[in-house]
Amino acid sequence: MNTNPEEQALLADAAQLRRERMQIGDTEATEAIRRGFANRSASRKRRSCPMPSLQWCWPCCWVPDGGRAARSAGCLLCIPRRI
Amino acid sequence: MGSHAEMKKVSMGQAGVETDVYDAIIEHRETLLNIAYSYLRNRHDALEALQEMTCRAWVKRSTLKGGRALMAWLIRILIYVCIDEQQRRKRAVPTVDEQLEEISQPHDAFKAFNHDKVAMGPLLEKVKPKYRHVLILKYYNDLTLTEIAAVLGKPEGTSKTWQHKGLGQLRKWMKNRRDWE
Repeated sequence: MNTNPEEQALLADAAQLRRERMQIGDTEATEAIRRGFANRSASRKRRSCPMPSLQWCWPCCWVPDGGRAARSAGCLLCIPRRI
Repeated sequence: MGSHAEMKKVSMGQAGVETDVYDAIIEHRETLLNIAYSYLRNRHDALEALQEMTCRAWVKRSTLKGGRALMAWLIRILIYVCIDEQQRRKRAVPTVDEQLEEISQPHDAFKAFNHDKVAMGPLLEKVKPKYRHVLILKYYNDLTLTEIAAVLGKPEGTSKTWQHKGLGQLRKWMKNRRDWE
């Protein structure tokens, strides 16, 4: 049994947070993990980016078509910066 | 949260295949989401942290040495993601619209405060980070000191010391704020 006021306050706050957290559905959590796992391919593309000397060209890998168009045409996000 | 033995069970020895990391995250998603929520106290940010942790875990999977607990490793990554998000929040400058919204609405600390419940979020922010990790993992996520020691990569005795020091700091702040007489 915890008698310290600070411990009691922490446990009460934890219970409140747990209630709030319960509102997040299991599907949402699974979906977030799935998205994170899907992003892993982006890191692979980042390493194989045609312009590795440009540090900021990696976001081109995040374009909706998976980066193919951006890579073939040069990085759409970096070209304006190069100019 | 499972026992320490359970954490050991999900070791990198089994997770040699990429999908094993994913399976372990899916299996422990509730625990991981709880930890993210206790740090960030926000639905959207907690889900975002879970997503980022999954990506970072996959990218860094080769750094995980055999025999080390996968779950402790995942929690450590998640804590780093949450710390990054908290740092980003501190750096972020609110827009004019957000400032106006804040003026029109009561501050979170006051919103969360009532006579039965002390608003702990702002107080925990004041506690030294290493002590805060122990308090959050122990009181908000029911991890044992052994499990916390595994997550933080410190001896169990150190975790216990940090717990008491963290509680001491919290006591000081709460007394200063006169949350109790």
